[in-house]
Amino acid sequence: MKLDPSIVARIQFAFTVSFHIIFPTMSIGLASFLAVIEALWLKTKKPIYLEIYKFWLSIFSMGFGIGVVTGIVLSFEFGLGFSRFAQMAGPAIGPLIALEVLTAFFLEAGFLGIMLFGLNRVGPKLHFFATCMVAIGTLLSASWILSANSWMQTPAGVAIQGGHLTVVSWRHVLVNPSWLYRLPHMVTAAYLTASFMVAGVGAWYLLRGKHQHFARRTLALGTAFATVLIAAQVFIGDILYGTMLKHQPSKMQAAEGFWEKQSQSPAPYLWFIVPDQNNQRNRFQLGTPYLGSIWLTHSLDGRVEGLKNTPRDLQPRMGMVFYAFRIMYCSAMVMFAVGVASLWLRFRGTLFSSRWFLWILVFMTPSGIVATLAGWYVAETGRQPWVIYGILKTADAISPVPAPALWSTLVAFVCVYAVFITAFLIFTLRIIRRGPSEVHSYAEASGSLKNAFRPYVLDSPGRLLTTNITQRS
Amino acid sequence: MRNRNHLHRFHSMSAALLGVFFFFAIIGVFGLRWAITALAGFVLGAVVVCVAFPTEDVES
Amino acid sequence: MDLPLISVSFLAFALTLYVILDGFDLGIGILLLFQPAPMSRDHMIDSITPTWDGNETWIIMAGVTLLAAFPVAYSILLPAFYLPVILMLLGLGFRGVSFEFRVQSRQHRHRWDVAFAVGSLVAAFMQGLVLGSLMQGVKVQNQHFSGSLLDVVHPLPIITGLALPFGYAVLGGGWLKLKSGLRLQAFANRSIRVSAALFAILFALACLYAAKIQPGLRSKWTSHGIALACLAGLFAIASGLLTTLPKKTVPVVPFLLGLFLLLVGISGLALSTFPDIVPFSVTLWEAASSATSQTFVLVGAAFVTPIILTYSAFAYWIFRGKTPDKGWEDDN
Repeated sequence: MKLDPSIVARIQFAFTVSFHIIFPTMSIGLASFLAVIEALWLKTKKPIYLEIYKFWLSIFSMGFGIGVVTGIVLSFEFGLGFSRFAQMAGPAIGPLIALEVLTAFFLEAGFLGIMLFGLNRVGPKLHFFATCMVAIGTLLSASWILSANSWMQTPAGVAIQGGHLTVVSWRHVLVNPSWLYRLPHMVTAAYLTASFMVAGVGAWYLLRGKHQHFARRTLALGTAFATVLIAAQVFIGDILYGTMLKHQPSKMQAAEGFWEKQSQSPAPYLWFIVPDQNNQRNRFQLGTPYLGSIWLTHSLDGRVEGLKNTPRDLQPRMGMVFYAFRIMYCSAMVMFAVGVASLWLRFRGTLFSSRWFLWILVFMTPSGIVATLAGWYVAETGRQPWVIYGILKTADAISPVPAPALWSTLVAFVCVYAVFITAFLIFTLRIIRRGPSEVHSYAEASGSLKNAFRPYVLDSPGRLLTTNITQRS
Repeated sequence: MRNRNHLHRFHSMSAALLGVFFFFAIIGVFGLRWAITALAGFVLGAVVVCVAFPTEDVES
Repeated sequence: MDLPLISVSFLAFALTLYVILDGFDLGIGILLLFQPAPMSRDHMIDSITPTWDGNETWIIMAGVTLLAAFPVAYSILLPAFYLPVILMLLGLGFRGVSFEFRVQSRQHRHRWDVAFAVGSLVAAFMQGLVLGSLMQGVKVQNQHFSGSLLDVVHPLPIITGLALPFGYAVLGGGWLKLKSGLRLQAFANRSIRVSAALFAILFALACLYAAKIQPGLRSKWTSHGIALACLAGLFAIASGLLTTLPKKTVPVVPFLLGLFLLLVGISGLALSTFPDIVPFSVTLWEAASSATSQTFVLVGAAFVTPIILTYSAFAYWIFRGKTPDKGWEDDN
């Protein structure tokens, strides 16, 4: 089977990056969630919060580890599969990623050990500081890498001469036209992912009638955050849509499924299409009348611009972009509905006893990951055929590596990553089945920074006998 | 009993429709100013509901 | 101000820190293969668990610095070392996830230990392979890699590939002596002695062979003759001391000697390639990106690196002393 090396290189990168993004998305959300929970524990001194912390910490640490090792792959994969891209873009995105490593990766890594293993070695305040540093590290990491990727989508601040790029304005490279919209979108997506994960597990326990206190707290927290976040997310998403319409019209044209330069008026909102890229038409399409004009042009009779507005050799593949966008958008709508429902059930006082709702929450546990992946597919497949939009085409960006080597290493990645995710799922489900462990009632939540510099064990027998345990009610 | 059920269903439908209205507004169907206002209103409302209507567990 | 020189110094700094820090992590991983007792293996891994992530991060720093400051070199070297780099990444991947996964299952822990050990060994071997390939020289045409992916499968890279794991094992043994209880001291001593001997022999073999086949190396070595002779002498002394390690030493001495050994090796490598960054075709200045890019990285690095070193040292300090017998797991 003879396949174009550029296709194999793309499949390989697509696979490794799709796999990778699952884990930082969880980590960014869970890290901040853990910081909030630990803050609540320190403030209220209620053992339930320590219980929640420890439970989600074990899942967090597994996901974080997989995120790190799959991320290292990516920083080298630029050169492995796309060396021509690396050579051209290195001057622009290289420094951005270098700063990501310097300010974020080291920060997370440096404090992760204390966060995971230091509960009995340092005082609670220093431990909380470590948790916060890890959370901040994940956010910084997201910021830098989103800037690099956004620069690929909407490049700015560079001068091109003879195939070489020189950065003329770092401000414009960093704060490129789409960064400040895509960053909050991604961070909110990560927070939503964590919220639905937390709420889903809580809902599962409620359905089984186990770990009631844990389940109610986490479900309440999860749904509360999710509701506020999804409202913000659809707002940010819409603003981002407008920005991308301006800077990458071909992507949004492909996303909506229309071919003609000006669609019919009023335009339907398409839910299902069978696109025929070669003949530049849809063999079949199904949509809601009027809704296209309403949602996309904010009027009752507006026309939507179709993909024929982009020259054929510069068009992304409509099928991929359209369906990725629909999956993301439909996930958002369902999330929004779930949020509204959760508010209504709170109002009526039946949040924890409406079994139909609890089942929906369980089903929605991985919804954040699905939506985030779909969104990234919109971003990356919609940018094609460009790797740096308007500057370098993907086909011109690959390495001088023969297709068989690309294929065999792709197979190797799939096999190895399959092991990783299988193990992750098995162990996570096992942790969920086992449930949160009872936290000893003498777990203290007070301590001064002075004590932090002397490693001591919180629950040593000596301390038990001599310390006053204070419980603020 | 039936009237309670109907009233309940009417309230749920109204809540759902209100949700739809907020969704349309936040994604900008009525313009940017409405979107911002609707988002602010929704978030405020959500916070109020979460705080003012305590969930069923007494020991929170 | 010669930016490429400063940039390559930072690159060398990052790479050196990686070799030292992840060196003993990988070394412990490799030594697992020779440790039959499960509880001892737990103890060995516990000694590196709290700090491994930061250690590994230095290789990302090195790679990304190469991308940012020497994109031409990055775009040549990575395709040239396509196979060993990917295998290294997969090895590091298995090593990394094994930390998290092995504690989840007592039944299958030994399987994850194997994954940990093999992953570490593969990563170390591949790093050695790349080292040897660099010494062998990389085929370049028009600033792009023009050789074959199988250029790495040659005698010299294979010898260095076999040598480096032993070098890491020396460091691993030294770390074990520092952190482990009485039970593993004999094991640590044995590991250091054997690994140091094998490392020295293989490394010397590699240098002799490299001088024979690569005229570029010969010319560089003759031009830096005195410095290299000194390095060779120091290398011989250090490896000799490690091979004949007495049973009772100050615990930190073997580790420091191991560090010294690797540092000497790195210095030798630097002398052997300078001023090329892609031996023996592309110099630092030819591969460098524009001044704005290098400056961005270096200014960032200048500000942030001292902070990183401080809190990293703090993390090591928190987990100082002997690794507790019961490990880091909670009493729950």
